[in-house]
Amino acid sequence: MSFQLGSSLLDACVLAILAKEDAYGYSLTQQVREIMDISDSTLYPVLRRLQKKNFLTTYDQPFQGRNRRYYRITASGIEKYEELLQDWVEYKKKIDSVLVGGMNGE
Amino acid sequence: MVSKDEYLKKLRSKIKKLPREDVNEAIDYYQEYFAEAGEEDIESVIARLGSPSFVASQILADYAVKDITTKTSTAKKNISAIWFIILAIFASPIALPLLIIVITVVFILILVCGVSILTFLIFIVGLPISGLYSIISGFAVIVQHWQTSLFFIGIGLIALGIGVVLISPFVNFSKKASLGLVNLLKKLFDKIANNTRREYN
Repeated sequence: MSFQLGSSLLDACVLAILAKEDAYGYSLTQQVREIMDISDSTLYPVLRRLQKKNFLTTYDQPFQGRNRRYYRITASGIEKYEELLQDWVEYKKKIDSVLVGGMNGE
Repeated sequence: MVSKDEYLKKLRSKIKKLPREDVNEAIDYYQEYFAEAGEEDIESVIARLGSPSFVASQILADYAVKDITTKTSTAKKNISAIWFIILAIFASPIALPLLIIVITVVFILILVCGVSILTFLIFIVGLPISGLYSIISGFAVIVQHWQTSLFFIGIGLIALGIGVVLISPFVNFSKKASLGLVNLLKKLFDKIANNTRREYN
């Protein structure tokens, strides 16, 4: 993809994925990778930051004799997600009015 | 070929200056990551992660940002932020000549900032002390020549007064200077990180 992604957009995507269901680090990374061109190591600082802000909590579940750390969105995380979503819709509208509008207006 | 344990060991050594708890948390995360990726060959997993240096620089950069954005910023916190930025620069995979230039620039910036703060400090501490000294010598000659005595006491009071008045602007100045320095270094690091990120994506 030719567009640079800001960190708040990445935050929004992580929160959106977790709003649907809890996920562990690796599966979350793969889900984000499907939509964004990021390095796999980008997610750890993001998860840590969201956790520090109390948007996420973690819990451990045994899996095949080892541990899997799941991330779950909190109530304030959902609030943050809705706020970011609102911002995104606004932003998308503005960009569309230039990009898409430019094509139709020829 | 690099093994998983080697990779994690390298990563640990690059972030070891962080609080122990945070180091373990990061290593646990990547330990789990490797276990989840288990089926694939290790090299493609590492290719997706980037080098241990790259992973470490991302973790460290996040600490630097966190320290700057904390609102109750004290000089101590600023110093630890500077420290994390320097570590992040060391950990980032950039060419050695560039690294040397960057380190030199960072070093000079810190030096200039430190020296100017120190100069002000000496001035501000020195002024009241010499003021007090002048007052004392003024009283010492009071019986010999009261005019001289008055002159010394007057000069002493002025010096003492200026010194006391300058203390709070000085404290403000040093806080702002260190905060400004941290912000500058953060920007510098972001530039470098952006330039090198592409190679590892």
